[in-house]
Amino acid sequence: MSIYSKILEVQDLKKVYGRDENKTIALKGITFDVLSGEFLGIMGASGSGKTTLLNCITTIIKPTSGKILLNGENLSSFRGKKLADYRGNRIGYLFQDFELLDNLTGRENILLPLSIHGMNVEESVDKLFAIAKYLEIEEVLNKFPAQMSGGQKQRIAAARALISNPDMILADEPTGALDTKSAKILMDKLKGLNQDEKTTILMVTHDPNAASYCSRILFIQDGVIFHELRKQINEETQQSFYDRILTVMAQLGGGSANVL
Amino acid sequence: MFFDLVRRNSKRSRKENGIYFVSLIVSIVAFYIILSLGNQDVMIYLKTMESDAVNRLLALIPILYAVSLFFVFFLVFFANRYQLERRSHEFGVYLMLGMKRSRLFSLLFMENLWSSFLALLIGLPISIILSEIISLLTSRLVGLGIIGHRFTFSISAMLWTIVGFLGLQIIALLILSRKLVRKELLDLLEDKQEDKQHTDNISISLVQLIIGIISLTIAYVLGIKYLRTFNLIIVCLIFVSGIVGTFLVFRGMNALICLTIRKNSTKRSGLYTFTFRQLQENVLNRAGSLAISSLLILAALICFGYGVSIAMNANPSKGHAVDFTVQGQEKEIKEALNSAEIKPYVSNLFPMKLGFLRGEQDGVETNQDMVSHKFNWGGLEEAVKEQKFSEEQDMLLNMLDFHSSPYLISVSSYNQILNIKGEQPIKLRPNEVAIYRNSEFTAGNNILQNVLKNAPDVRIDNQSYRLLPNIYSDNLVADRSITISTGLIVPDDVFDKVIDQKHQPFCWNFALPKELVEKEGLMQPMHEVQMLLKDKGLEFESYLKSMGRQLFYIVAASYTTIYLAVLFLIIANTVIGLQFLMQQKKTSRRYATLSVLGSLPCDMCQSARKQIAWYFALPIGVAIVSSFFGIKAMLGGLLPSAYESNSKSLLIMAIVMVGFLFIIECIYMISVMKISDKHIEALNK
Repeated sequence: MSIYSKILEVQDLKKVYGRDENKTIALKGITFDVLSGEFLGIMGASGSGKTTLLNCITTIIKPTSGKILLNGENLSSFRGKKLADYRGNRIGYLFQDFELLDNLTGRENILLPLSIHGMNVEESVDKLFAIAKYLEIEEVLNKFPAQMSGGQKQRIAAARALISNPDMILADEPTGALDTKSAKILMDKLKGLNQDEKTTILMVTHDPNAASYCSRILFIQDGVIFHELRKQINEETQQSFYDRILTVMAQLGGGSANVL
Repeated sequence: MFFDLVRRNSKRSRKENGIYFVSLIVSIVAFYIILSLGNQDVMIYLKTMESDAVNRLLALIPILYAVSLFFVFFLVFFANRYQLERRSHEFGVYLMLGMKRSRLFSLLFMENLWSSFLALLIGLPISIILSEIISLLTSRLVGLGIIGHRFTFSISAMLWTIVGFLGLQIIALLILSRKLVRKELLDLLEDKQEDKQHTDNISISLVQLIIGIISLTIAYVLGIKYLRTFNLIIVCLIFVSGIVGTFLVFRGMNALICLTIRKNSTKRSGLYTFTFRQLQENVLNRAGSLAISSLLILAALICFGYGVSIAMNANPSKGHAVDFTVQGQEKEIKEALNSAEIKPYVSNLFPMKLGFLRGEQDGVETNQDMVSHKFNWGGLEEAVKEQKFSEEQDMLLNMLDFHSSPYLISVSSYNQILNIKGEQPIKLRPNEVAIYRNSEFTAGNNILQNVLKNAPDVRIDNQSYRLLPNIYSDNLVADRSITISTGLIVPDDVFDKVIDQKHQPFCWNFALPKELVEKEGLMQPMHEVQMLLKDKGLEFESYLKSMGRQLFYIVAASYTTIYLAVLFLIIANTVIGLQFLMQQKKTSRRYATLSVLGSLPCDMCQSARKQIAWYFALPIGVAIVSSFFGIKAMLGGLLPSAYESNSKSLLIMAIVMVGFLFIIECIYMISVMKISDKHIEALNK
């Protein structure tokens, strides 16, 4: 593991919504690292705080205390241009409902982060085709989202997340709106990217099937990390990892909660 | 509780939809001002002189009001639809919570009523004050004097404004509520994004664009060439092809925007592609109302152009020199005018000597004792015939033919008129004459001016007289006791020789002393002299009458057309602005996505501003192009004389019009941009 360097460090992250009587503590001090080239999954039931965590990392909300460091730099110190640069350039996103602009063609959607950051779009056309080929979306590049299937939309979104060579991809329930077949294709592609291109992926999900593609999984409950699973690389099959995930989920859902 | 909700909701609507609220107030003001036209000082004054014409105009006002209500209905309907669409989720929640549909309807109804009430509360006092200011200003401008002004308040105008305005609101709401009631609850709850299918298939758009341009061109050509024929079929053709063309051009614009995007999207960075895709979507989905807005702006420009050109061409001081014309026996006239009470008002009293040159064919049989004379237009007519053939030339030749024996004016009388105006007198040598044309008859003057440069001659009793190079056109009398379209100014001895002296002078003219006019204005002393002359039992006419008539045309034309222009403009602009904001609200998620992808708020605001500028510019641009041809056709067809004589004032008019439009558009665009900026900033918080 020593060849892996830390890309993202989350240190004692706390988030409190509301004040006084209405206070809700969403995150109670979470600490973990994301290593370069890792495929990290974060799982948890609704209300566990996983979306709050993701929103803190995407800078959509600000944490109450604690730090998030990207390659050693504190995210909360990012302002203006630097923040914008972080958002589109150093982090790529995949959302449950794709968040494609439906009045732009597939190609225009993919190139959008580049043009937003004022980069030369023409030079990236080769890269666009390479990614599109890998994700098998070449034939829908000139179509509008309304003319695509859900799986195609999510792969367009994946291409958009990859086009600017981000340090890390953040995926929020990427399979949430997809049928099983499309979800499998997407996860295969993401896994391929992770293994072949060493792309770092941080994925939030509550789908154990999707989670079984990860190399490590953090389970969150009530704002704290409750458990961690590591896949034994080269030793463990995806199926047995999936079984282990289910076991933890059963504990999360019933086990310890009932004991308490 | 219910009324609390009503008040709060309507307050929120007004805040979010300020442009519409302001437009409503403006239309209330416009309604009241046009309805209370009869109470304006100028109109009250004109009624004493031109009561027929004034009454006819006042009878037309209800029709004008009905027409404008129809157009404002378009605005009210549209703005309310926007409100309802925006709040459909909220209504869905009310219904989910068990509110009855009838209750929901009464909630909406009360909200609208409350907003309308507030609009009236603000609008009516403004309109009363404004109509007073306009009344004072116009009466001051025309020299009526403001001493006689009294505060007027037209209850009927106010009532009609309220009835019309509330009626519009209620009808619009009724129609919209019917739609709302029929909707499924789910449709209400779902906050739908723009739902039209996007395609990049531009071949249909391209065809529409080409047919649209062809159709507009047909309308332009027909308008310029054949509008003057006033053939009903042609007028209909112009309207149909113009309207259809405008609609098709807006449908086809999709192709243009799409091609621009395809060409530039990989070259331009920033939000270029997004900006134009947004614009494309808006134009594609709203082509119909954009076309209507564009046509309304066109109508506004034409109304404005027409009103201003009438006002400018009916300039009352044009050709005005003498203030009074008295007819009768010389002795009586002199006695009366030299009397102590009238004398202070009289200056430059002179006999106007003019008479008809009796030709050989005119009335010789009936009046045996009259001497007849020979006349022909000689060299002038030939010189005109040599000019290139044109409609103008034809008209001029017809005119010369018609006046085979013209009116003659003695040069000494005419010089008196020039003297009053402070202009150089005409110096005629014994063999010279000058041509006179009334300022209302200007057809062919350009050719005439050209021909006169070579000093052609006319022949009276076989004697040749050379024409001076200028055309003279000052009024010979105060108003209308005689109107000579074309005549000749001749030396006094010629006049005495060929004109029967029995009926000379034709009349006596005089002006008011300059010092008096400077001190008291034209109107007041003229009025006093009129009373005095009436007492003396003299037959007279005054410039006051002519001025009143001109004034009436100016007031009637400028009031009605500018009223319509203002209404059309605010309707069109409010619709365009609301449509943009509506799309922005519906697509606000896209802005959120952009923000997540790292777009800075200022860049997004910039993109939205660009969209707004384009979204306004498209209909305005089409309207300006059409108005150029429209005004040209209209002036050529309806006001040919004005068109010929006044190219300079036309230019001024065009500048004024463009300036006026520019200011109004800037106000609208900037306020829409501000709302859009706020909206985007709110998304980023």
